[in-house]
Amino acid sequence: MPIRFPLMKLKKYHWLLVPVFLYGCAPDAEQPFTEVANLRDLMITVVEPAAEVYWDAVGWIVDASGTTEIRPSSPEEWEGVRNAAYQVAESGNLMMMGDRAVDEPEWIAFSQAMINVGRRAIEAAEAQDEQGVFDVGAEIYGVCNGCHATYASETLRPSAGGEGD
Amino acid sequence: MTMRVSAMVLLAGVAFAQALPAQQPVPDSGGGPQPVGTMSELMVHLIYPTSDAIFYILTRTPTSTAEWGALEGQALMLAESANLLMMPSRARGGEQWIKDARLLLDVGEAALRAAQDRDVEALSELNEQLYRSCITCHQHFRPGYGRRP
Repeated sequence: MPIRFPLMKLKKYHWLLVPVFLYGCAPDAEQPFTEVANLRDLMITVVEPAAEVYWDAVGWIVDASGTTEIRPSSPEEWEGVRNAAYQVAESGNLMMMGDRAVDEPEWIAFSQAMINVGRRAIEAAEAQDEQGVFDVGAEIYGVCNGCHATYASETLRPSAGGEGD
Repeated sequence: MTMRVSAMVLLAGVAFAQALPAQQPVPDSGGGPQPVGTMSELMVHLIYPTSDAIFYILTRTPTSTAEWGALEGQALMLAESANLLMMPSRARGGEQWIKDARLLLDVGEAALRAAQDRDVEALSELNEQLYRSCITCHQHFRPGYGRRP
């Protein structure tokens, strides 16, 4: 005796599944991104210079003659620091686009860490908070080093030299 | 009758499936790109400064290796800003938006090559193309663009 499933009684309504099936067949939203530079060139040309602007923006030199303070001295200079922070933050997004993206959770985590620390860097620059810029600068350095240690350890060796280290 | 209903549902399903990507931008999930600032902030803090480096190439011409390197960075950031504009959460107008963003990508990439060649004349000649890429998108998507306040 054949087994009858109650659900079979609904077979005349099978056509209701058509939209569900077609929804599954809907074309994937194509990623429109076109990388202009590979990851290495993005790092050397955009990310590192922007981070350097941020790191160099504030500091204190203590020597025999006293303390010399390094800080942006005009609204335009602060604007430059803030814009550099935007470049760092949005570079986290660029790292996740196209062929630059590495299909590993760690890569995404580091990219998002860069976005998050970049956001804090923007806030500190907008507040013209010297200590904040200094502290967040150290956080940026930590995110960079963490990612490099995982994916580009050769850039951490003092003897590596050359660009990008 | 059943066939007719099935055909109608099929057509409705096709229309729904095809229309979905255009009507609902795919939200940026927690696992992918996420916008850092508003559209205005992206313009003011990234696109305007980097495009100015191209627009004012004749009065701010790099004079050292370091300055040329900085200009390359500006040009690359300008070009890649087009990708930032194409992020699902930023794209506002389907195909037209992507088309307009590609204008920026193309001219930004050309500016990068010219900067790498240290070709001031080529950079200067890209001004018109860059200007056109800006106003084309603004005319399509910036409300009130071109009207007097």
